[in-house]
Amino acid sequence: LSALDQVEAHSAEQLFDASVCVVIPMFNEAQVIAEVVRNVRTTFQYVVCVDDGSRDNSAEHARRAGARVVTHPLNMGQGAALQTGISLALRDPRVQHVVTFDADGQHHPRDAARMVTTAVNENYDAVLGSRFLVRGNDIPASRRLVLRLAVLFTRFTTGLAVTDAHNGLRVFSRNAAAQLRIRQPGMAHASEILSEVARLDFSYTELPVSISYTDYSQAKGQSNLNAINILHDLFTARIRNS
Amino acid sequence: MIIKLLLLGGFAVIAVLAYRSPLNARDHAIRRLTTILLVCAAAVGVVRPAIVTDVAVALGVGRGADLVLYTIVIVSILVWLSVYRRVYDLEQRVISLTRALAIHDADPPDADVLDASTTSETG
Repeated sequence: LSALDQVEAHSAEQLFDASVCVVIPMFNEAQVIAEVVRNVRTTFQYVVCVDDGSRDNSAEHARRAGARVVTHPLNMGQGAALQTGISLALRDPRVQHVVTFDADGQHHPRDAARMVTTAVNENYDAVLGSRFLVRGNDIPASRRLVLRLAVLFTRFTTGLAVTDAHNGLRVFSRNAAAQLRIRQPGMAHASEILSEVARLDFSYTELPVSISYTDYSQAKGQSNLNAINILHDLFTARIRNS
Repeated sequence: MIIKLLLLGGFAVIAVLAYRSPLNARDHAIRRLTTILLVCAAAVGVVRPAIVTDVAVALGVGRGADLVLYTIVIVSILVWLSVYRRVYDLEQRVISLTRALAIHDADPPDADVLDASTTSETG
């Protein structure tokens, strides 16, 4: 039985109510967002899409697919969008867990479901997805190298024993989500979130998640060179925040 | 040489400022006094260029022009740091404001995601 099959076997036919809110930041995702939202809503009723100043009609597509939409009048970056989505989700008193989920369709709702179940049953503050705990994930070699370096960097700077530093699939308990402060507006937020997990001393675990590198997600995703920009943001953040 | 100590001291100040929290009123006062002093020194340098050379020699720099260059380097970095910090603060304010606006105008929670226990309260 391959690791992927095991993940498959775990997926329960379950529908989560409004106690779990899936937050999807999106920027010009009209092409795929409706399908992604519909797919998520087969498992989670409550989806919040944060439209980060898209120039296309992503918001309309997401809304018609059943998401609650919040729109940034300006494009501010994925980190800022995540923080907005989390803040909005927490304003709803029913929400007990917040899931962060990428808009490009690379994540699978069944992984999110498994992570939420783990967070609920074992009372974790944070459950983080890792593509490196699954053998079946077909990660492009160059991307694998960059991500490995990111993991080393994260382990060094935060002391967390994580295996994947830039996975968009995460689950936070209400209490944990309320303490998160994502200040990095751009892509450095992924490392920043892990710093927050370390700083706030969250109880956390990593679970294997499968990642689908579709043509769309590859085209839409970050260039490997963006790692340079992320490092720059993280280092200059020390200049600004300390 | 005195100039080496002064330049190293200048870079040390830059490093400290870079890692410190936002400037307080005292820092701003010092920054403004320094600016006034620099402007006065510049005026003196324009009227009596020989004085710049004398000061340079006294500090262990060969030429007045070199002393001016060193000063420009230090001041430029300080200005860059302060501009960077202000832009960052501004960016964070814009983000907070935009977020507040976005949340204010967000879709209300959909009726169909209300679970049975809360339907009676909201509907």
